[in-house]
Amino acid sequence: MSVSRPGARAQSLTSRLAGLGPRRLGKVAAVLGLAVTAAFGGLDRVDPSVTAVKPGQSYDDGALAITVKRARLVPTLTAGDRVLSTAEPGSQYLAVVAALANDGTEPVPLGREIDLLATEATQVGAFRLADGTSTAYLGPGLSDEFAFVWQLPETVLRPGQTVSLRIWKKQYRELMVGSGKGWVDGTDYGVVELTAESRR
Amino acid sequence: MTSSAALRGATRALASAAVIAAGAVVSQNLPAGSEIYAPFPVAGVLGEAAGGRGITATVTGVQIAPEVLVTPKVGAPKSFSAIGQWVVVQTSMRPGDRTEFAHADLTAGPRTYLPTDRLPPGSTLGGTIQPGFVSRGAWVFDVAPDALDSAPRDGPVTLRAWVGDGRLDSRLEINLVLGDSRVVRSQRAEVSAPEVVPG
Repeated sequence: MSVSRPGARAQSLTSRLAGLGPRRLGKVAAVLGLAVTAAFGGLDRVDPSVTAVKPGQSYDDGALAITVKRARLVPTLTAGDRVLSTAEPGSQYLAVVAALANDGTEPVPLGREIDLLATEATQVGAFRLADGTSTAYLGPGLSDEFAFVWQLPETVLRPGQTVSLRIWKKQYRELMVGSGKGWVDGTDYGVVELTAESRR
Repeated sequence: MTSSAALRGATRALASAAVIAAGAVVSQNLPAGSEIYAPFPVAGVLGEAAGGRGITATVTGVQIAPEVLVTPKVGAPKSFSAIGQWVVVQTSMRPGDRTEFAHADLTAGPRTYLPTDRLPPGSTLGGTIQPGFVSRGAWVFDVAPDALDSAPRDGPVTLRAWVGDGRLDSRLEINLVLGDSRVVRSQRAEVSAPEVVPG
């Protein structure tokens, strides 16, 4: 039976590291870096799970149950006989109607509930379909239909073309900036594709 | 390399690993920011003044209704329907010795509600309160009906009010006993624009 001294073992490790060469040393450093990162909480996944959601199908994004129903291009936003806003010449509004239900305990912001996958679109806001009032939140235990509205050039989207929407999965957690908790987008999302109906 | 130099190198590596491991353990067990900076609750009841640093408030009445008639400072009164039920909390507020920005929310058991943003701007409380003046008006919330049973199954209904960002500061928590005679249920509540009076 042989017994090696600690100094000799350390010297052996040092010698072996010195003999690895730059590429292997780089790999060892990368593994150590990953191990330290994992110890502090790990990395987020970079391969998001994408769920195809059909129009009329409910999708649970972690904060709300959302059912996207239809998309319509209109030149004017109205609530009953009241005109809310008229688009500038050459532009139009896209209104996406969705039913929302908040079964949780916290209010959910609506401003970033749906992403329109189109450039040159400016988000106008979310409006309660029943009376045209705009709102930024849906409180817990409440459900209703809302119109999510964007303004975009007439050349970007025409009636009959497909509209792609992204709905991020969300988590209610401690915010990294400031203090307190809030809804934070995850990496997974649902995609809804529907046809833009013609303007009335 | 001498054996003593190698031993020092190994010791440094082990010490570094131990410090990193300890840092990882600490980082995984730190209290959350919302706990570190949590406000200090100040309990209050309907009809009595509740005072904390920067804010004193009295809830003078509560209306619960599916509709609310809003009378703005300018223009005709207009009616708005709730998604659930409107909870109109009539409140008078004043700050301490400096101007403050007042906030509020409403808790019903585990649920939290923000003041509605569906009513005309300036028709409800929220915003600056000035020293030497009392602001009288209403906080208005759109609340799920099942949270407003006379004996809420999930816990009490509470108006929480604070100034600034609320961190490490007083937060008034005024219990709204829904069976109280000052809590009125009707088909239509009424809200007038807040008034500011010396006081």
